Amino acid sequence: MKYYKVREKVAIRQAFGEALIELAGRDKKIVAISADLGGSLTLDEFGAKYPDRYYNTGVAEQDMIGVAAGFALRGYKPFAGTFGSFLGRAMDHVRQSVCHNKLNVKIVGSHGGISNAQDGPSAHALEDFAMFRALPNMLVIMPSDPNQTIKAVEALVKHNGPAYLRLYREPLPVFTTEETPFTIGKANIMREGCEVTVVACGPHVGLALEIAKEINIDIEIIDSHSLNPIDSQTIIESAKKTKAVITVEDHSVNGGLGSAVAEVLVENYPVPMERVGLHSFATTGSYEEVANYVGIGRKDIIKAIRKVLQRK
Amino acid sequence: MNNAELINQAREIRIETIKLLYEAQSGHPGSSLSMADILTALYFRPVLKFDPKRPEWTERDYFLLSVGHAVPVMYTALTLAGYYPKSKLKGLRKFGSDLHGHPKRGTFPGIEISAGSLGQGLSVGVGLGLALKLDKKTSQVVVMTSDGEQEEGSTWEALMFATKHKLDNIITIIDKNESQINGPTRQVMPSLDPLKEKYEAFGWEVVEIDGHDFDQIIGALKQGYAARGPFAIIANTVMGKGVSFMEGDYKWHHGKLTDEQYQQALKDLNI
Repeated sequence: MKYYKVREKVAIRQAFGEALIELAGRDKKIVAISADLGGSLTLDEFGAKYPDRYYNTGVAEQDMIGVAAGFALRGYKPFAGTFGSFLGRAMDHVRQSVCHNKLNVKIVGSHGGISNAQDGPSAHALEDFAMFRALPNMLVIMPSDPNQTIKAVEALVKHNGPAYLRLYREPLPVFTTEETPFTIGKANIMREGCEVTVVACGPHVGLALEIAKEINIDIEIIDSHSLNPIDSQTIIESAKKTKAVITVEDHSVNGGLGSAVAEVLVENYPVPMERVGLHSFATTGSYEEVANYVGIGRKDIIKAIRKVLQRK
Repeated sequence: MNNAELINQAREIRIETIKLLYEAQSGHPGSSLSMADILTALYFRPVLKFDPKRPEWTERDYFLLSVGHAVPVMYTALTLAGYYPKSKLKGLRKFGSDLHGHPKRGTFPGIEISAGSLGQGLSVGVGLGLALKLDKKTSQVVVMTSDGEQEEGSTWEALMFATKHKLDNIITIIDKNESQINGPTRQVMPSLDPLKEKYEAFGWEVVEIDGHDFDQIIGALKQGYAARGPFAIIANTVMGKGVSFMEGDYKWHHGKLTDEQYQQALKDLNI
């Protein structure tokens, strides 16, 4: 696989598209299906390269999922993708046609969270983690940088079963390398620390690494790229060490990473905890403006770290 | 089988289906009976390519039951066709039984997809049809839907998409029994008709048949197999066909049979 250089900035939706093209060259069972947003997921390039393995159902998300299920019935490995915000209307098809049938369909939700900031609230995917995480056997993955995205796509092609891969619109800095391990269900400790644990996913892992350099608090940073299954062991061990945890995600605080981590801690090792995420629908603006407005920006994370530290 | 034998076979399927539903004291008799003749034709004078001893045979044609609540008649037809031991055909809707209330893939041989939430089978069928094309197989996909199911918008998404790909290995049969859970279909959704013209406007070739006439069912299927694009069979049927007090009554979409009704049903079916 072709990896990106550290500190380069690349959108993980682009890394996804490039990885899928490379993998489809070796694996003829990979097909891609979009609901008229192939361009936004860089699937149009896939279609240009493999015209007989790319399908556009038009603006019809339910059909996209059903068609993907049909391909999986014949042993294909369909990747069906659109904006994460539009997958809600296809959830019944995901539940019955994909999950009840136990089919090997990979669902890709791009423009996760508020990353499609300027399109406004209708284009923001704030509930997708919660929806997909509730489905039995459904993997839920959100990569934190372009190189990890490549590894995630590779792992998902190998995995036989339904999965949700969440992508992001904003370019993200590369901080992992080919050597950085990636295992589904196994979180990566990106920085060891002893005062506060920061469990993050997606864009907030890179942001947490930047924050660690700026504040005088020794934070431990866990990249929880797998939300389902979540790596309980790593989270519990870190909580035992730091005795204070915050979660950071571009998603509703209900049902996403914060909820998943809270479930693990409450059942195993309760410690003071703060969840950074959205409490309501967002608004329109630049990415930075909207992120700060909804409370998932840099200052919000620092505030949560300080707050949880006081609660120890 | 000749027509006289098919008529007898259909009667046996109806009787076994009624027994299942009576034992369950729950379920959907109306559509099970309205599509009994279609399933009899499919599995007993086969145009459909299948092998009951090898349900996963890769060269088979695929029959997808999208209208999941009619599954009792599917269990019966599959069993009598040799997919499942007749001695085990019981326990519909009971805990631990293979005969789930709605079709569940992997629990009963010959059931290709889980169904129950309506309007999903056609999309899956179209995906399957496209996959068969990629595999360079000549197998056909037959998707059974109902008239009430046409109210699901996703049905029309699938219709458009099949036409886009000029898919010639997909056939859908619509069991037009004019009934749904809340009332006669013409009352719940009067604008569903004219259905044939709607399908034609979406680019499908359509034939309309009497869904209780074996020659017409088989003829339409053969026509569908030979068609050069997506093909729909609108089968006009009678809700609860064969049982006097159920015929044409939407209230038998679902319901339980009393002892007296059960005896009457068996009598109607010439036991």
